[in-house]
Amino acid sequence: MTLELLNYYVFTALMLVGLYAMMTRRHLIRKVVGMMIFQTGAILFFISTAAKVDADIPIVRHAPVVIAEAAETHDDHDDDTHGADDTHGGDDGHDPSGHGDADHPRAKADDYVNPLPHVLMLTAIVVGVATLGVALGIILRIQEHFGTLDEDEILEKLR
Amino acid sequence: MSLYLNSLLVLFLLGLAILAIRTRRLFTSVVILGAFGFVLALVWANLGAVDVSFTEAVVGAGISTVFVLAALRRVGEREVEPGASRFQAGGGVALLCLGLVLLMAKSETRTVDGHEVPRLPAIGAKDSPAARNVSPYYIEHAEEDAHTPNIVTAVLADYRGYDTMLETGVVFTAAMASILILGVGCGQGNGPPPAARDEESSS
Repeated sequence: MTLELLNYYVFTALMLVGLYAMMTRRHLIRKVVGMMIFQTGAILFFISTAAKVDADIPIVRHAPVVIAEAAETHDDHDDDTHGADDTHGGDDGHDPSGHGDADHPRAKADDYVNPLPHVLMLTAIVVGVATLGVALGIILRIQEHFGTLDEDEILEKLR
Repeated sequence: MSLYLNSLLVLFLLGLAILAIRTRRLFTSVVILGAFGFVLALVWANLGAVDVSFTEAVVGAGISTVFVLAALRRVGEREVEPGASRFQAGGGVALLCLGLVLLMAKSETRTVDGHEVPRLPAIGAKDSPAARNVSPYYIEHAEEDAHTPNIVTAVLADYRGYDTMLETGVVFTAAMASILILGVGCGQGNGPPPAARDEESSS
């Protein structure tokens, strides 16, 4: 089934379109547009590998019944653990033991999409905007210095 | 995740990307890039990456479009005639070859020198290599370890806290670089800083 592999084709095409724009367009801002499209291709690949069929977004969700039971049974017990934690101060190594495994069943890995590529791509998006800012700053200085943003004219003036 | 919606959005994305580099006016190109960012946010939301979707809508589609438009305003919108680059034919052919190689590599399982090279896993496969090795640990233990139901937040701010902290350093460096390059605060308004003016007058 090709539909399941479509994202890979599209990410290849996006990266090629971006590279093509960076290689063949003469206006520097067009080249920056190509760079952003190229980055998007890479991000699309990572997020596509993270997806799972019939899976939830990566936020752990407990059934409502379980939450209600936990609130009732943990009510005074919870205060105790918090007080003890405050007096001990800092040692949080044993804090998870306050969560009973019976009350809080562990999340199943197959029920949630893979969160790790999402984290990496959050970083990539922010760094991409930082790159864009510096690139545009350099472009503005080039415009002030050479009076043009045409690649060929700039190369001519550099000679 | 809906595979059909995903296919539709992703093809729309590709069309917008091609349009963004084919239009003659630069302003149109930048606005199409903004639309591209918002379609991208929809793709992420459909694939279950809600945090990435928020970030893309705010940062990728919003702020970067504003950046480019602001730069365009100061540069003045004079677009060169497209299609005059020396690399057009050669670059196109080279990139087509690269694309064909990539497509061949990822579309089917093939055998190279007796070793089986598997194709990329289908979108949404639960047994893909990315989902099998280390990621189940984070999904199962994030709430215990970090007391946050949102696993992405737990990994970002807890497991990989140093990474995120130093990323602010990256953004700070980029901001400082932009300010220094643009010469903001030299008391000259939009003019170049004194050093650049000396350089211009000497050359």
